[in-house]
Amino acid sequence: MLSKSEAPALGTTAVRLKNITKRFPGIVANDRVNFEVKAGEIHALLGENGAGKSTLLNILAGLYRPEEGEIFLREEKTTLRGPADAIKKGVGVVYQHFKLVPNQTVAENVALGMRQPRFLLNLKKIENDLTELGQNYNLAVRPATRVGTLSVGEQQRAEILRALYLGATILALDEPTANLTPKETEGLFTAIRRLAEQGYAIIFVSHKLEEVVSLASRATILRGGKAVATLDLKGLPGEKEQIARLMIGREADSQSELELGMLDEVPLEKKAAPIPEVVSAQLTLQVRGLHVKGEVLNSTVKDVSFEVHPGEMVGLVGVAGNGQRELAEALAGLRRAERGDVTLNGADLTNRSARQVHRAGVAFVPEDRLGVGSAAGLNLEDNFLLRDYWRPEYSAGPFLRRKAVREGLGAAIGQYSIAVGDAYAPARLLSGGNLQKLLLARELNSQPKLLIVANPTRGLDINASAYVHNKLRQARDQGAAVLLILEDLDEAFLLCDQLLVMYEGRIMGKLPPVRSAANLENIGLLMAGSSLAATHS
Amino acid sequence: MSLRQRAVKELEIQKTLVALPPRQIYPSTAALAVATPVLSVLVALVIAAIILFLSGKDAFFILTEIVHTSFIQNFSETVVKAIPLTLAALGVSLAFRARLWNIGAEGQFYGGVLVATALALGFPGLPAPVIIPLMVAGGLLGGAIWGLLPGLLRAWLDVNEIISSLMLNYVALLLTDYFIFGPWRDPKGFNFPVTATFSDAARLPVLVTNTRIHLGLVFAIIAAALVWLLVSRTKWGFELKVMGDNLKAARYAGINITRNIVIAFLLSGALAGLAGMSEVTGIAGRLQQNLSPGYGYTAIIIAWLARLNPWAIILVAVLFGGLVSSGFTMQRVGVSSGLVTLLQGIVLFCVLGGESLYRRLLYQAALRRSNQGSNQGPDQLKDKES
Repeated sequence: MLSKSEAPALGTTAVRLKNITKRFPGIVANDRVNFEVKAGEIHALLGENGAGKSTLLNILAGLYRPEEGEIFLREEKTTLRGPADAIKKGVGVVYQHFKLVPNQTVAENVALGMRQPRFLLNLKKIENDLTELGQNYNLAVRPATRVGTLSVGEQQRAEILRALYLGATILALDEPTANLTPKETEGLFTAIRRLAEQGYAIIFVSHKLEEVVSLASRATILRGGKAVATLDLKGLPGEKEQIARLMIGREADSQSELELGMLDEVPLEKKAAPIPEVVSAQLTLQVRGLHVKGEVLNSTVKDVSFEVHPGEMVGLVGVAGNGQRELAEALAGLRRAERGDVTLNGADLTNRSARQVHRAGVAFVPEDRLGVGSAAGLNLEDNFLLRDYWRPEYSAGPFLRRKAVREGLGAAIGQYSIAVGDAYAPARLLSGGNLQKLLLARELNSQPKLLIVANPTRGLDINASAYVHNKLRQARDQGAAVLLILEDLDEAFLLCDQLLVMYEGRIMGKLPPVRSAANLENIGLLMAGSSLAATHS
Repeated sequence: MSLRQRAVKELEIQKTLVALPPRQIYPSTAALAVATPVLSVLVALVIAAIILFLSGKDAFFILTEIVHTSFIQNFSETVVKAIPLTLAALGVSLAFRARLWNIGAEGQFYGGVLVATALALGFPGLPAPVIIPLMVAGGLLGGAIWGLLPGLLRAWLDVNEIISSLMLNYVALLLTDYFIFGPWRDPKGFNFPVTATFSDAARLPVLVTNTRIHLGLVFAIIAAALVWLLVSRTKWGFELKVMGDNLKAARYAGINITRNIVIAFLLSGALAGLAGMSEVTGIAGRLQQNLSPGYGYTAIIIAWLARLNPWAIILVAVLFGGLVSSGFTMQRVGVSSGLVTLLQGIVLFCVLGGESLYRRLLYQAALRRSNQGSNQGPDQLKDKES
């Protein structure tokens, strides 16, 4: 019993959502959305952040129930009563953050989702079945291995196999390539194409236009909760631009289009930043032989050395979980380094406290903006004050100068165009873009010598991303040394003056951000842990 | 654009800044903040009335009798009970602010009692202006020491402070028993487990004649003012608030978490110790068993009901003072005084329930406002650069 329900014949309608409406307090997340996927089709679901993609997926997964509208599965009207019901009816959703139990094996995880048989557990059989299923679809996993020890790519394959094994004929993948190396991505695409050939209906959620046009045969674009268009993708020139326009809903200023690499011809001479020579002669950040214990298996930072100069923007690229976060936290004084040293303008900052590092001129915007970068239950004023309350600017003796803080916040709100409904509401109510602006305003307020930002535009829409990019460039042009932790290569190419590729806690190489095929291939190789061909200069 | 030009442009932008609007108080939100605890208490009274009714009593009569005696006839006794309740509740509220669950106010109360008693018994000849400040310091110190233990354990070894502070309550209680059954027992006390009566100088002076309201009332009000100043106006109060919201953000903010945990427990315990000191020297005049009818535990309910606001703590403490002092009334009308404990329990449940409801309503209100705001706001504040 490899796949329990047979995939329907090619071309028949597998899913049809009709006038789906789902509301949350204050917003209509899905507004009369119509969406249809045929068996054997790879259908891309596109949209900016907050366009309603996740809500639609969650409705398909049975997690949310729509207030209005109808769901048809294989031309039959149905309601999804919960995740288990959705799985039973053949819908499998693979989220960006995997939902497998880490300390169980792949096969055990699959068994968890099975309803039959009730009491007997034949793990051996499941393991064999999974291996066979994996071979058929280019989704190789080791079924008897504990999930926690698998690589990200393998965990994802396990998720997909689990969905297939539990009988999914409709498979929705939420940003499946977000954390994959280029090679893993390729493997995944092969698997997806093979599944589609067999009659599976694939819903592919992504914001990477390149991938969408190369993989999908149709695309539905969501904007502001509405499905604005469904396009047939034929690989014609101009398709990407058309999609981009539909996603944004207006002519994005050319800057933002450039930002996301939507136009192919990104001028390479874009970074002619005039760096004052006096400044560039000296070092800002110097890291030598740094070792930092990691959170997970591959994230221990090993013997890392590099420099960042004033007026320079260096991007630390690599697949998430290869030590980037640990490195950034060690530099910001939030994690102990076991060996090695860090200096800023010659002053030793190794294992100093977060306050001392901040006082020395290091600003840090962490990746987890709600969980680390802000006290999300407190209001904007408190969050603006969070890192600087001890400075004489905002305090007198043991007392706070609230009036000065309010002035500072007012200035920041104006200067960074932070859209606030209510400055005294908890910060968690801010949109991702506005929260990031607030954090940047706060960190740049102290005129740092070194600015470290982890995934500066993750979760932000195009306009907010463009804004953040401008602010980062501005900080660099004003003479700050900027270190960015980036997972998105497009963004790295766009922003950085130098790229450092990190893999398993080591810096694999230092490359220029040149968008040539050879350079891209090199970066891909380094990110995946192979060393460069000898020809690299 | 050169750096200089950029800098000039930045300055221009700064001049045209929007002034932050003054803090808005939304009438619905403010009303909600008051209505929730009041409604919670009312619901609790209704539940209590039902329980009384089911046990065959005249619920209406009993409840009106309690209100009458506690808040009209015998209000001074209510104030007397409110003094230690206020002090102890102020204490726990400090720790709660940083989300440190100090359940040990009862033990810290006895910490203050023990040191104050030792001073009173040890220096019977000292005049009031000397012994009273000494005992105040002693009470603060005794409570602080008892608070220090769970504080250090939590700060250094990450020991759960709920368990350690709670367990230390029993230690303090048994330690007190040891002293009154042992070394401090009054030789002239007919073998009763009590200490000798303190000298008159070592008794807190009565403030209002013909009542038992003592100087402790002044301590409580001063303490409330100081706590208010501390939490709302100082850097340290800000640090506590950040720790209470998000420990990771607190670390990121460069806050010395270990040190602050210890200080919060020290201050928290000191205030409870002051409560104990004022109770033993202002009311009992000697150390005896069951000096506290659970003040330290009631203080936890009070702090929550007052939403950790120092001024509201005084009000709620008076309310609970009435409840505590109504035990006698209960017996007079033929109900077990255990009903008071029952009623407190019901109030706590209703308060906690009301609180989570309140948070949800507040969140939804804020969500609505911020949605409205961001629908109008953002485009007017168009960035001037780019």
